[in-house]
Amino acid sequence: MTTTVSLQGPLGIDIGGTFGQILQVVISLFFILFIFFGQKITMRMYLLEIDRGLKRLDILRGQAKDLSLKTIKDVGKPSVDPGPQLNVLMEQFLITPVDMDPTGIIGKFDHLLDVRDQKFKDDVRKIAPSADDAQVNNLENLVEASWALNTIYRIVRHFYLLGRKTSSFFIIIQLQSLLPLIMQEAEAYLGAAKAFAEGQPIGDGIGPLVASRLMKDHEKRKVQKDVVVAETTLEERHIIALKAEGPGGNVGKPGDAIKSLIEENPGRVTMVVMVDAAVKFEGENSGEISEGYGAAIGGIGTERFKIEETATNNRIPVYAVIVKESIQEAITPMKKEILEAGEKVIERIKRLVIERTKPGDTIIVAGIGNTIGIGQ
Amino acid sequence: MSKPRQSATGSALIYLVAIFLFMVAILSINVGLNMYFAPNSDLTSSLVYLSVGVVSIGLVGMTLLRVRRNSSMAGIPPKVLSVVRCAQCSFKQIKSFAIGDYVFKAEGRCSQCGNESLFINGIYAEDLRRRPNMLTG
Repeated sequence: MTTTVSLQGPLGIDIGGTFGQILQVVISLFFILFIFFGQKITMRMYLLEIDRGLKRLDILRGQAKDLSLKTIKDVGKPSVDPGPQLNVLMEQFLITPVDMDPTGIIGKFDHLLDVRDQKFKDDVRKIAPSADDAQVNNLENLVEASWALNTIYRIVRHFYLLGRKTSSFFIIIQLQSLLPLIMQEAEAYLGAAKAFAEGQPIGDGIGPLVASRLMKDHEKRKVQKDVVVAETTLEERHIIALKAEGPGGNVGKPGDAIKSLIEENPGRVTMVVMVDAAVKFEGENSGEISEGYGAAIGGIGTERFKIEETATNNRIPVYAVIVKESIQEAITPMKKEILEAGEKVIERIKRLVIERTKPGDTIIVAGIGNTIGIGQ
Repeated sequence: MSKPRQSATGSALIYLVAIFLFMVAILSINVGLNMYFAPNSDLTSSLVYLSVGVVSIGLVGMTLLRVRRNSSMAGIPPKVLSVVRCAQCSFKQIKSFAIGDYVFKAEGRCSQCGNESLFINGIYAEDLRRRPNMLTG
């Protein structure tokens, strides 16, 4: 004689019956599937995640492009639709010089960047004929931010499609691991595009801001490409402050400017102090200040090379005062704590000047960075 | 127009899958508890059911939190302010940034001392999505 035991649970489901058996089969199947197709399932999940990121990137680049078009139309008042010309600008590229024989590569890079900057500026001027010089600089920065977003999208899409086509787990896993950082950078570029469209100072502008505070109410003159200089005194020392010419978005060529200033004052310059924004480590506070040695300047390295070479040839010490911030903060509107760091940087420069030089010495203070939204 | 719709469809799909997984998790926990408290209880099977249920609920919770965080972080533009100061007196005013503002732009006559010495001393962004950081304060 057999008896059937019914196991009733709190929800009234008979687990000893059909439902329990189905659930057991489903769970067993799930485990078997995971053993044999676990990697494929994980890959599909990663692909879905990358796909979502790619769609977001497409939206971001679309927003940046729309903003560029709107700003060009508002500011530049073009007679023809700037859309096709903007598309050409967004696909531009730069072929780096051959580095098998590195002799003279700095000069080649410098020349290439000059050509690129001039062409980019001329193209922007063409599509925005009514814009003044500062507005052309801002538009150039805005188009560059759109270009960056477009390039990020194209690269991510390339590796996503390549990974999908070849079913390469390693391409997909690398892309998925980097995706949060890429998305952060892309969101920051959109923030930068908005700042450039409206001419707002960005975090990277802390160097020019400090230099402009030193230059205030003193006569300015232009040296080299897009760099302005003013002479002042600080703690009985003769200070030559320099920054890129604002308030348009501009970084200038501080390397050439420092070189020409040292040549103008042979044997008199006793110290160079460079002020710049620098990337902080996670966990550090934005707006913290650090002092160091060497040329504090980013970019491809051509300007840094010129400063290092001139300083070494003339035996001039180069000191760096940096303001810490994240990469996102560097290209989005300047935060309050970074703005407030400006006064503390001037105090640091004063201390450095008193400690390392004598009254009557000549010191160059260079504010490095993008001077958008900062006059002089 | 198709891009926001695609994004909305994606979110709806995530919510649907999350609801389905949540139901499976509840049923699985129910079966696990029944097995555990049954007269001839099968401890191994009940633990498998309970684990599947708990892990599923955890996954659903994490996914929903991530979707919520992403949607709440996006699209909050910072508020940009211009600090106007007088070079002659202590007058200071903070106003919303206007296109054309830049640091050291002359802003005309000071309402306090009457001199033509107002200028923009700084421009900064107020972070509207800042949350307290447990590590850095």
